[in-house]
Amino acid sequence: MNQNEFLAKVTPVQDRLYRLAKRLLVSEDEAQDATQEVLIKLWSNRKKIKKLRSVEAFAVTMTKNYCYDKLKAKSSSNLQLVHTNYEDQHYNTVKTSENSDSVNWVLKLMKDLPEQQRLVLHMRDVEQYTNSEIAEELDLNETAVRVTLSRARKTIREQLLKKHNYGLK
Amino acid sequence: MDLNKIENLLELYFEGETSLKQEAQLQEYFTSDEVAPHLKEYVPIFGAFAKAKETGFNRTLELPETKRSYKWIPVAASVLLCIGLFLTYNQKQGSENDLGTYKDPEVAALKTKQALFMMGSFMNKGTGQLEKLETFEETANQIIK
Repeated sequence: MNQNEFLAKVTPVQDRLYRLAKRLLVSEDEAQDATQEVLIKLWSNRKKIKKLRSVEAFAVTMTKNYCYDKLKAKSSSNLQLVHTNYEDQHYNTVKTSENSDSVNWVLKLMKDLPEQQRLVLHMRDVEQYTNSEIAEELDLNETAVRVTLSRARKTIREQLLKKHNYGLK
Repeated sequence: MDLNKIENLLELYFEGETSLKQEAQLQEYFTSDEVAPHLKEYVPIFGAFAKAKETGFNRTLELPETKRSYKWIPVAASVLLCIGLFLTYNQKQGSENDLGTYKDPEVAALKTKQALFMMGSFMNKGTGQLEKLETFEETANQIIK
């Protein structure tokens, strides 16, 4: 596999990998680093990925594991990383400006979800993976995926409505 | 789209029972401009998913150059060396087996004749020296008598 063939295979996937990494690591820079790292690892394993059924599933697993390792390393070190600059400056196409505050609020709520729920919600509602794909990726059964998904969605709704009503009352 | 249908889908959505296709319908409805007032509060949820999808990997990927492996070169060299040694050895053996035999009997006979004549001439050279020995013996006999 030469460089061009590799890029053709990897380019459709790399944004998804980045978003997954960002969902887990939160920091944009770290997510970019993680994606780059994973892509380079894929490149050095390109002989292996030729034989794979789905490069994407393999890459997603790699990204997930890489991020978990990063998170573990972070939590085990005494250094507390404070990332307050979570806001992304690159968005510009949010439909209505009056909604963008609540949209950011929802994104923040997603960050506060437990890891598993966050991943499932992200894979399903942002990346549109099927439940069976998610189940395979996260080593769960499909019922567990559905339940986790439902919980995540309900939590988001509750928190959102809470904030909504708080403003009114 | 039918409002009832949307409300139903929304309920199923929070139970995790919607299909991807139905979720796409919801997504489409809630990111459109015609959301019913009492459903407006759900807009940010779907807005957030759409927004989350907008980011992507934005670095240019620099793939490390493929290192060409030179591992096979010593192997090839040693194989060549072996072949070379084998060939030269074989050639030498060939020259040892070659005794200079003539294939044509006439030529062979001629050459043999020449060789024998040469040997004969060497023999005669030797006998010439022997004559001196004879005179030596004669004189010795004269004295000893």
